[in-house]
Amino acid sequence: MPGTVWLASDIHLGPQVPATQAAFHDFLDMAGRQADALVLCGDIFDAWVGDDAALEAAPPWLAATLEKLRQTASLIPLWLGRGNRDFLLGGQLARSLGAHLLPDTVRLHTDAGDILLSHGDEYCTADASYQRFRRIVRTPWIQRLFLSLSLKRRLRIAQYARQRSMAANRHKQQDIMDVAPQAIASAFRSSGLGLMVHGHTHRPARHELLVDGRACTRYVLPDWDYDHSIPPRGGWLAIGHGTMELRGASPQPQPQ
Amino acid sequence: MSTNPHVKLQTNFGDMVIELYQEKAPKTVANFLKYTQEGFYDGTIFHRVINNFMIQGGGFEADMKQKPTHDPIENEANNGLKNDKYTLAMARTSDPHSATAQFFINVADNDFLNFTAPTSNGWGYAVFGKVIEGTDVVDKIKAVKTGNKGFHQDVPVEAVVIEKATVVE
Repeated sequence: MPGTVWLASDIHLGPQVPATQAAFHDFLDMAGRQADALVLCGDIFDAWVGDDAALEAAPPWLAATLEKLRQTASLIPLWLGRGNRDFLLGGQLARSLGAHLLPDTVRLHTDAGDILLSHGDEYCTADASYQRFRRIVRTPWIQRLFLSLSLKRRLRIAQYARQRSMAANRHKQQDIMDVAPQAIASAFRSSGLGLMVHGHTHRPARHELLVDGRACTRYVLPDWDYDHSIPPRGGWLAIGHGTMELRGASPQPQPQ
Repeated sequence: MSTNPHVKLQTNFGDMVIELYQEKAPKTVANFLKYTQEGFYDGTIFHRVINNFMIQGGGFEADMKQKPTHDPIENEANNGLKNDKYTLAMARTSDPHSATAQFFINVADNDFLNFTAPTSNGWGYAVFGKVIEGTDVVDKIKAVKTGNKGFHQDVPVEAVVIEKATVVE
């Protein structure tokens, strides 16, 4: 992927975040003009119950975003990855948008070097109950079974799962919902790469670390919230020739 | 008469002259002069204006398109200069050593932006110059009406444009 590559994740679009959606649409316009490729690595949508549902019966807000994504994909290559919320996003949607579907973990060749890219939930290995859930919902036959249900039943199951998850997360300690240092180190080790980008944790940062004496850098993408957060949150990683820069999220300096 | 270099910013709100503290902030001043001499700042805007705090510019064109920059520079905030009213400092991301072209003019004494420690929270913002003529222009700019523009907040409703930046001989 030569040139300027922009990476974003965790926009969590849904019917009730109009300001976030507007900011994201502006971002897509900007990316179309200023970037050579755009990679959205997971949780673009807060929920996803199947490509067929989105393509055949999209509510107006979703139809607007899909149209915007289609426009962007007509200008620059657009890559879509799955997150822990929209893990059912699939090839049918990607094809209809003119976009490409990303594998869960991928090695991205950029002008700033090779980057290990994923959504990031696979590194939260301290959260055993989530990892168990993740294994189940990523099982192909279970996904096929779910997608064969009527849309109404799928939505009901998704809502139930979401409520269960929110109730459970209230009792989880903060640190188990972050990435586990061992999981990060092991990913750097087995990939042999020195750069990693992921989202998921909503803890945007650049972390420098040593893995077996090797200097490694891990960028965490921000989540987006223009509806409830003051100042608004959101942003992306801009990759250029030898440069990686987190943009958009809380411009600096911030007033006291 | 100081031998410090001076840069004149001609804006659609009037002109200002900036003295650059070459001795205290050599890398930052060299960086600012390079962008000035390349004409990089011509046509850029003050895109982020927060009254009683600072006015930030030098990175976006009037249509809010961000201009491509050179590599980031080292943060020289540990040079003893303070973010006092009418001083210029480099803007950056949350990474202390990420300043490129964007700068801001303090419109108040912003002590909390000063260097306190070489940590990500303590680095502060590198002061490298001061407005020595045309502070009234700064006062006019800081009071303009602002709003949200797409992805950005605190954007002047009427564009504040740096029409030309020149090194004063």
